[in-house]
Amino acid sequence: MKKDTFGIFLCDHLDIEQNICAYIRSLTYPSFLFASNIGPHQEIASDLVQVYLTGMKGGEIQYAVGALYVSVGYSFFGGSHLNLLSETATDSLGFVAKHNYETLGVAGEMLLSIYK
Amino acid sequence: MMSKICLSQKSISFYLVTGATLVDSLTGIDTRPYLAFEGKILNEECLLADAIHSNNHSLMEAIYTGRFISAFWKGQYAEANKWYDLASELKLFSMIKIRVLHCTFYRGLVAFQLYRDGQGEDWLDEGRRILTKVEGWSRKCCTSLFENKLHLLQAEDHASDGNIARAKKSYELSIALAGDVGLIHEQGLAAEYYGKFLSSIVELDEANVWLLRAHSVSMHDICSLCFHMMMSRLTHLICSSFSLYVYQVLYSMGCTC
Repeated sequence: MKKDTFGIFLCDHLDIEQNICAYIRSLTYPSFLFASNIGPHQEIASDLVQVYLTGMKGGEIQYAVGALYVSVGYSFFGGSHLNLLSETATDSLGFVAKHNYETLGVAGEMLLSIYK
Repeated sequence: MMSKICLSQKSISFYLVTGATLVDSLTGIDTRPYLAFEGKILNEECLLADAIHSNNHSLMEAIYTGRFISAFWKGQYAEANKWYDLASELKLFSMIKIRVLHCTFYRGLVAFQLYRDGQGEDWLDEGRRILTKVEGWSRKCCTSLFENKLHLLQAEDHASDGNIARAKKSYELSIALAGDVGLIHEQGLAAEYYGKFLSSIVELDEANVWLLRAHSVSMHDICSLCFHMMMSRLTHLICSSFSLYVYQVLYSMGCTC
């Protein structure tokens, strides 16, 4: 398994460890939900969008797309404007479908890299 | 045909497209999200068939819960229950996720509504079982996330018991709390349920105030959850409470659906 380059990239260059925490927290919602006070959905969604943008800039596209997907869910349940959500999902779908990024592996990889 | 689909079963695009389908069904605008698959997957039916064929429970859950949420916001409770029952049969559903949290909350509301519509005592038990579950979540984690939901379920419980004063208090608290944390769609939902409750106890003027408030929330957050269907239902409710004046106001705004 590859080293968590995305995490290193974030910590060394962009100092947004909080965002990656939000990502992990959202992916592992059940355990973190009961262990800590999770913030409002909109805040988590906004953190995840930052992860997405940073990931795209850094070439860690799989993580970025994973974050985007999770952020859409949080935005939806946080009461976001549906037209905006629809735009986000539709715009990114073509790209995501073309490159066939997988979702389930992302969570596992990130967790493993954090716990290592 | 489905087995020839070359995309991975775990592809994020599958989950993203179920989200887009849900949003489309709520707004009533077809953004044709399946075009992204260039003919490999034509619609959600194909995607569901593939998920069932390949035993992809995660994707099945995403589709079932999406359909449940859509039916719930459209007020089609029988349809909503069908999808919830299918989703809850999957093992993954017992793992708490953001979707599961909300689906459980919506199911509780459906259960109380069905009980009050005379569909049987079982629905009251189901509603109370979910209320207990949400109380547990509210105690153990972020209260701001669950408080308004908890009060709305409690209001429905009190309303089912015929405890008018406590029901009113809980409805109003739920509406205020949802507004405080920016959950506008849930604020509208609580206002709508409060309006319906007041209609049922023949406090028609007060009911109209809350139904109009639910309506104005929808107007403010245009295309927020199920705007078109909500408008249609609210207009129907307002009309059925014989307030011609309110109907005329809506009509003049071109919102009679």
